[in-house]
Amino acid sequence: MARAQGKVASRARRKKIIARAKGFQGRSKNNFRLAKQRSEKAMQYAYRDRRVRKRNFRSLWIQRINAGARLSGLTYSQFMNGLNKAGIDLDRKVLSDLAVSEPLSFKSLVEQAQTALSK
Amino acid sequence: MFAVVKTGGKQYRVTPGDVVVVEKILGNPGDKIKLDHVLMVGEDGQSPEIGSPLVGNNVVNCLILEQSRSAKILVFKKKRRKGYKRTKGHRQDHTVLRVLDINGKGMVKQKSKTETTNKTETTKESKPKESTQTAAKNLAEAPNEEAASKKKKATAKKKASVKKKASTKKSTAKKN
Repeated sequence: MARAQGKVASRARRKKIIARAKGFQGRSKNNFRLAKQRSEKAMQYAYRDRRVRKRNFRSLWIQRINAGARLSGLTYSQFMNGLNKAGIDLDRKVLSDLAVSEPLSFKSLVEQAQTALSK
Repeated sequence: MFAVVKTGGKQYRVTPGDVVVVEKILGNPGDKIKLDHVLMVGEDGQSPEIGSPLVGNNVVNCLILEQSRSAKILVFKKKRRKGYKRTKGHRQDHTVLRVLDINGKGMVKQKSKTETTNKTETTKESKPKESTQTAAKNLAEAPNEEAASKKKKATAKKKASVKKKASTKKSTAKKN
């Protein structure tokens, strides 16, 4: 029986990793050994950063809400406390969106928070 | 006008005519569904109705455009020097919705509907995808940066997948 050769499979396996390292710097994009290390590290970063992205966006939204609320005379923490007391359950993504693109709607939210706080 | 509606654990600000990608909702493409977890309704020139937490008796009517899955994510975990390495692919199920109206208001006239019914089956299949892309593009031009960037990514991915499909079709045609 003819002997099975490994070279086809090896080449395919290495090509897959080199393809994953497209656009990397220096030898990392051409050299299999480096490409493997760098692409594995890259995927580890990707795994971590999918989680970090959620935190980053939340903090960005908070900054925008804070800026919007301060225009109407409340700080972020007072505003969120007021919304809680008023029973308003909008999340920070929507609130920041409103603060940027619907300033009047956002202002009425701040007013509701203010009345809830003063009770 | 707009409404803030909650589905799949996330809140979306929608206006009639929008195309939104949400967590999977059961139903077939072409079905109409009602999203009744409405948190806020705003109209032009009026003070918004703000629910505490819900605005009662409000409904956002939607049309299911497609039941699809996100682009593949490679989940890769590794602990160095411990011989631990795991690779797993993940595609999230999601549903593409077109927002028809909010409480029956703000209906958007749909030309594409009549067009698709006149044409052949093949165009029917391709039509809804194209329309979602264009609508998503329109959304991407909206001032909201992070939402826009996310949607741009989504459209780019979709384009890529469509291209892939097209190329595979071509190759099969050549073989024949």
